[in-house]
Amino acid sequence: MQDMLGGRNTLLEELESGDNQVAESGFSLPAKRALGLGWLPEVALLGSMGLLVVALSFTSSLAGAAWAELAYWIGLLLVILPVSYRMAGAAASRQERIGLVVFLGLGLYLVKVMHSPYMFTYSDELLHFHNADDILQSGRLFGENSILPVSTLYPGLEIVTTALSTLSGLSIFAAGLVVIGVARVVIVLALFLFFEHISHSVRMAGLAVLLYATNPNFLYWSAQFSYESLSLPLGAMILFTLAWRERIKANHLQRGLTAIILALTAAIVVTHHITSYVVVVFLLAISVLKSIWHRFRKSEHTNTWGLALIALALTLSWLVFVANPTIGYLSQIFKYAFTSVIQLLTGKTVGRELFTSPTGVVSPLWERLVGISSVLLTLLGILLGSLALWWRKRLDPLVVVLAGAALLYFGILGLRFTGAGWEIANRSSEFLFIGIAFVVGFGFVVVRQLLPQKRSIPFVFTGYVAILFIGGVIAGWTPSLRLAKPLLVSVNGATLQPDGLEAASWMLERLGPENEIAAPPSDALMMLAYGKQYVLTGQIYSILELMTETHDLQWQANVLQMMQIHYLAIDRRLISWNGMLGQYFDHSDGISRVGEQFFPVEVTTQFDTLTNVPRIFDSGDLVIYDVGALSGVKQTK
Amino acid sequence: MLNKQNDLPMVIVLSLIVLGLAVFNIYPPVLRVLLTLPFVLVLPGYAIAAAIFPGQDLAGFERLLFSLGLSLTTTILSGLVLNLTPWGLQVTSWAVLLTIITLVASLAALRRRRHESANTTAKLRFPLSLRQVLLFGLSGLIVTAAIGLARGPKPSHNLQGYTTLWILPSAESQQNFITLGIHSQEFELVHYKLQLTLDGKPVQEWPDISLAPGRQWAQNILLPAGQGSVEAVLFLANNPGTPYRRVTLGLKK
Repeated sequence: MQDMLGGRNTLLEELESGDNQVAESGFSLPAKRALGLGWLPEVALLGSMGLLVVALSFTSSLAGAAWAELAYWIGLLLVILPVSYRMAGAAASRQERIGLVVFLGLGLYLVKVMHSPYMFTYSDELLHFHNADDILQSGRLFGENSILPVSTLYPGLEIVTTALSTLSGLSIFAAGLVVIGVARVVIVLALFLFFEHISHSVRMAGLAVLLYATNPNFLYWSAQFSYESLSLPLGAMILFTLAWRERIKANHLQRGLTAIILALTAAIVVTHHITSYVVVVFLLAISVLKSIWHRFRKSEHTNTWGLALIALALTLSWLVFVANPTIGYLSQIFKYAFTSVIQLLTGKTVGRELFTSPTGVVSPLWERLVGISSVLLTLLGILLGSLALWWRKRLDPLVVVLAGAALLYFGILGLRFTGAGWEIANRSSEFLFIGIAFVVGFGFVVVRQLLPQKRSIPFVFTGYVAILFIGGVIAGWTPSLRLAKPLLVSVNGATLQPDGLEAASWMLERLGPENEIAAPPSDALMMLAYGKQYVLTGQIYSILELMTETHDLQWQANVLQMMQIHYLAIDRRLISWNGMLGQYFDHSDGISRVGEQFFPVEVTTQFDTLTNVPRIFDSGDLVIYDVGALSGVKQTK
Repeated sequence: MLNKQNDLPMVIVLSLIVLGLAVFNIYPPVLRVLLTLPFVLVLPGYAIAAAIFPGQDLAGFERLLFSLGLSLTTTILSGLVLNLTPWGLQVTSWAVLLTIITLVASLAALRRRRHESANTTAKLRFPLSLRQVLLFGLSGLIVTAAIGLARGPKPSHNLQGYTTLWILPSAESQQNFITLGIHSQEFELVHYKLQLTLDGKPVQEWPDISLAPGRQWAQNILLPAGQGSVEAVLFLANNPGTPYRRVTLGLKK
């Protein structure tokens, strides 16, 4: 076993008490300590009460209770703070710390499950639900997704989900929840073991995973049924396996771990584009740094060039031979982000207003304060951690890459001020926080070592984590999305559904699947996922202009012919153009709608005047027209 | 008490049971879920990890991680392979392929374990005290209650209900048949009046259609022969002057 770990290049060994170090014999700790769950059962009990409070906040928010949001934050803090306090202390065993991170990961995942407990509702989830449903129906991969075509070219998540669904008889929704739950266990476990391996400290590992959980996307975004939610955990496994491989001397084990890394890389390549690119960049960066270290420091490292080049070859092969449209898809996103940054820098456009939702709602003052504080505290932690790493002269290639990722966070922050760049900044936090978690965690351990008598440090750290976590949730999820939304309503035993979902069900039942229809995003996603329609939406083919402006008949006919559209769904609600918020019941004060905004009547009724365009469905807000006479489309696809 | 060395035979037996049940499609729903969850998400990775690390190189948490992660990886890559076969991704092909992978890896692991000198005959012990079991059990109950609460029926308080009205050419062969439907998603019993016109002339009227929440009304209607524009207008009985919903359809000869 000593041979497996090789020479102990212990990053923190002088910082930690012997109690918290990985035992010399490798992973196994002395039996007595290894079995100690410590306060895990009590922390789990408190956390489960927190989940109950969150559930109460969700149900009471639907009933309009003003205290729901306060209960939501209290519930979340009940989940995370006891874990944080135990992690910051020195007493917890390795087993307890692992139990705590797994509990934290699953506990926060359950918040998302309770947020959307009946069916998938997030926009990405609906896209992947459609893909999974298509695989279940056809038994084949690489089907068609009219809204996000590239999503079918990365079917890893759908493969696992449909395998489970096919064999178990579970619905796609249930199978998907299980798969993402397992992925959640994988990511927290993999990160813990990775951090433990590079620091040789279980306390450092636990703290780092906890800090990782404060990233803005951990609570909801990474918990949704989307390809990144599966690929990122597999990426975290690569980190751990690579770190372990670094310290192993036995050839047969090195070969085994190399094979695991390659298999994980292949699985990521077919699961998610961005994650596969990040893995390639990471492996290349590590390889370059190792070469530099070897040349100038004469230090010995295992060679990772082979892994990096194979990962690059796999990724490029998939991109070129299978997923070619990804280039256009991603280049468009990055082009918009780049353009908006240039426009912002040159003063051609004003920056995006922070803490303002797409619907124009400004977050309350306390949220803005906590949000800004969390960013500042993150930056402070990165600075202190980086200085501590430099001071301790414990830099090796892996640590340098992690520190680089943490420092990159500074640069990426600027993108949050641009409309198109915000998404990139927000999504990148899932990756960059691996570095941030390590650097900040290291800084904390150094502070702890410098001030060993300070009993207040665990409290300070717990407060620090609380601000980071709340700030992360605020930064990643607008207030209108945080609490559960009214999707299914029960009245006298009947289950009622909002009109986008109702229209999707009606189309499937009465018109069959695969009709070409254009609709606003929120309705389109429902029609794609639950109505099995061929839906076009967004800003392509002038759909936005067609539905939100008035035009002459010839222009309309040209657009419809170009899109080859048979049906057109016009939704008069402005919110229908928000793919995350538009698919729910609207609020009412008993007399009229609350906070609802509508497009001008002359826009939403412009097709009513055309006698050859039947108005076949009317729910009040949502009207479906048969525009086959204008577009020339008479048959389903 | 279980013996750790029995793990792989148990993996093999469980895989074969799932294969048999899947091929003959005879398993009851609950058993099906209980058996297939580990069959897909744990066993392939466990067997592969055992083959790569036949001795005591892997401690419990590392083994758990590799079992889950490699199972996910194996399933993803297996899906690609199945897609290339004539059978595609369906119950039997999944069961056969995952069983083959698990069996081959398990047999390789058993073979490699024989050459390992490491002691793998340690007994598995239940690691929790009664107090811990009770606390975890209580946590489990509270979490179950939380999920139950989140999934429970949602009241319509503060929400806006609605009604849908729709019209389509009837599936009947005659071209002047139409189908007209109403679906109430209102939160209380609603009384409607429905008027049907052809080229502006009244054809039929339903003075009182009462629908409880969630209930539907639909009728096939034969219209006078000829072409023209059909319009159906729905009114709320308590507001008969204002059209509530409106749909149209063109009739052809």
